[in-house]
Amino acid sequence: MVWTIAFTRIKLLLKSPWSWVGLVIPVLLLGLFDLSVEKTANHTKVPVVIVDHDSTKYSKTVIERVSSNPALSVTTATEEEARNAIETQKADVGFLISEGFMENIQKNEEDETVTLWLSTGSLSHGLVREIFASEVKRLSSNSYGANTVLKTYGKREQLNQKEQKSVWKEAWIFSDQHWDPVPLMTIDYKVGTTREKAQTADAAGTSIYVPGMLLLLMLFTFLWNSWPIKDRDCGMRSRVPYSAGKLSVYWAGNALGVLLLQLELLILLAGFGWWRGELLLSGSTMAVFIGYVLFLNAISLLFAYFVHSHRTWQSVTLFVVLGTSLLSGTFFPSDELSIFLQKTAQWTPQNWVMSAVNQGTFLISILLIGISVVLYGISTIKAGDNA
Amino acid sequence: MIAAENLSKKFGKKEVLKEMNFFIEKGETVGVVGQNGAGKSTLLKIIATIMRETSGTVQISGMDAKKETKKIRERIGYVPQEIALYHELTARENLRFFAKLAKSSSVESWMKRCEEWRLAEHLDKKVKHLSGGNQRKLNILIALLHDPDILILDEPTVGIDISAKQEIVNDLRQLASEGKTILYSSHDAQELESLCTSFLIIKEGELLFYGSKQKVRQFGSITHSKNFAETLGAIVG
Repeated sequence: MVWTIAFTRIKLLLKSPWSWVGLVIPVLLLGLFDLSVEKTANHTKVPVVIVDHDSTKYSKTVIERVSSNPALSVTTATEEEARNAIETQKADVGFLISEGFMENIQKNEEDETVTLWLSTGSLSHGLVREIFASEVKRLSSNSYGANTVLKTYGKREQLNQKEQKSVWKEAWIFSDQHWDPVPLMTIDYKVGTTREKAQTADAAGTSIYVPGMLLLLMLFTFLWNSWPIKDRDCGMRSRVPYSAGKLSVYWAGNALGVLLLQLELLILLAGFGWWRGELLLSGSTMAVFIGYVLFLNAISLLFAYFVHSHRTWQSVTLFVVLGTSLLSGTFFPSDELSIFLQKTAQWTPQNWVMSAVNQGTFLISILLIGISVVLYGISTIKAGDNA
Repeated sequence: MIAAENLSKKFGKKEVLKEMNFFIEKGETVGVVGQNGAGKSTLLKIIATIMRETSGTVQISGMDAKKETKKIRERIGYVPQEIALYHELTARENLRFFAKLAKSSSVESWMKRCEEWRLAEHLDKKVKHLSGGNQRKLNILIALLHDPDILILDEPTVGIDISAKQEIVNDLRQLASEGKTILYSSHDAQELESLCTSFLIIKEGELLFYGSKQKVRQFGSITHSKNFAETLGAIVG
C-alpha cells in the first residue's frame, strides 16, 4: 500500500512539466555554472604566447607543461602573430624557442636558447618567466644529471654506443622523477589565513559544485514536498488515509515517493560532479548525501504540516533555501560574515555535509539519519492529530 | 444500525455537538439538515470515524466507533464535501488507486456501475477536464469501491447544475434501493425531499428533530407551511 501511494505521488509530481524540468534543470544549471566559472577563470589568467621554432620533443614538453599551469593561458603562434599579440597587448608575455633548443639543453647550454618578449602593460612577467624557466631548467638539469652519469660511469664501464644511450636515458628519467609531484626548487609553505580562524589548505580548495548541489537538492525537495498543502486543499489528506486505513501509511507513502525523486536527482547531480571531476565519491560522501536527502525530506514534511497556503510555502522555501545557503557559504565565503553569523552557519545542514565531505566521517550521516527519523515521527503524529 | 448516545464534541471551549441521542435503522436514507456551522459535517465525520467525539458513544452495527475503527471503516463509504480526487490523474487512474488502497476488486468490475452512472465514456479523461457533475459522481463512486453498507455524503452536490444534481439523486436512490443506509447532508430541500426517508435536524449543535418524512410533513401542516422546503426552514429556524 505504501508503494502504491509512493508511485502515485511520483506520477503526480511528474505529471507537471515543472517536475521534469526539476530533474534536468539542476544538472544543466550546475553545468552552466561550471562553464561560466571556467570562462571567468580564463579571464583572470596571464595571457602567454609561445613560438616554437625547434619543434622537438623538448620544446613540446616545455609548452605542454607551461600550458598546464593554472595561472597561465597559453597559445602557440607563428613569430609574426606572437609579435602582434605582444604589440596589441593581447598577450602579456611571449617566448620564442629557437631552433636547436633541444640540442643545447642536452649539452646544458640553456642560456639564450629562449627569447622573451614583454608587453608594455605586463605586470606579471616575473611570475611567467619563472614558470617558463623552471620547465626549461627541469629538462636542462635532467640532461646535466644524465651527462654526468654517462661521463663517470660510462667511462669506467667502457660502454658501447647503444649502452651509453640506454644509461643516459635511464639517468634522465631518474632525474626527472624528482620533479614530481612538486618542482625540485621549492619549499613547503605553511598555509596561513588573514583571519584568526585557522583553515586547512584542503578546505580552502573545495569546489563550488558541492554547495551548489546541496542548494539545488534542498530547493527541489521543498518544492516537491508541498503535497500536504495540496492534499489538504482538495480533501485528499483525509480521504487517502481513510481508504488506506492508517495515516502513517499515507504519510510514509508520499514521503517515499518524494524521497525516490530526490535520490534520482542526487544520482544525477553526484554522477555529473564525479564525471566533471568536481566530486570524489567515497562511502562516507555517499552516506552523508543520503543522510542529507533524508533530512531534507523529513524537515520539509514537518514544515509543510504547519503551513496552510501555497504562497506561505513558497516564502518558507525561499527563506530556508536562501538563508541556509547564504550562511553556509554557497554564494560567498562564510569567512566574510560576522562572527555571530559564522557561528550560526555551523548549524546549517549544508555546513554539516561539507564538514563530513572534507573530513570523510560517517558520524554526521548517522546524526542526520537519526534526526530525520525523529522529524518523521513528529510530523506523522502531528498530521494524525489533524488529518 | 447507527446509534449515538450522549454524543458531544468540543473544539477548545466551543461545544459544536451537544448530548445527541439517535438511532438510525438499516436501509434508511437520512437527510442531515441544519444551517451553516450547525455541526452537520462534524457529526458525519464522527460517524465516519474521521473525527473523535469528546464524550458519549457512537456504535455502528453494535461496534464501538472508538475501539473498532478499522472494522467500521470497512463498512462505511465517506464522501467529503470537497472533490477529493487527484485532478491531474484520469478518472480510471483515480479509481485504480483507491481500489488498490481499499483492496477492492479491479476497476473493470466496476464498469457496470460506471456505465449506469454514465461515467464509462469519461474514464480516460483527467479529473480536471470532467464536468462538475461527473467529478461529483466519481467522488461518490470512489467511496463505494469497497462495497460499504453505509454511505455518508457531506453536501455531495454543491456547485453543480440542476440536471447533474437530479442524476446524482437518482443514482443515490438506486443505491438506497439496494439496501444501503445513507446519511446525506444538504441545503437543498427539494433534493432532500426526493431522496430521504427520514431527517435529522441540527441547530447550533443540538438535535432539534429526528423523524420520518411523514412527521416533517405533519409538522408542516401545523405550521401551515406551503411546501416541504418551508417546513424544513421553519424547523431549522
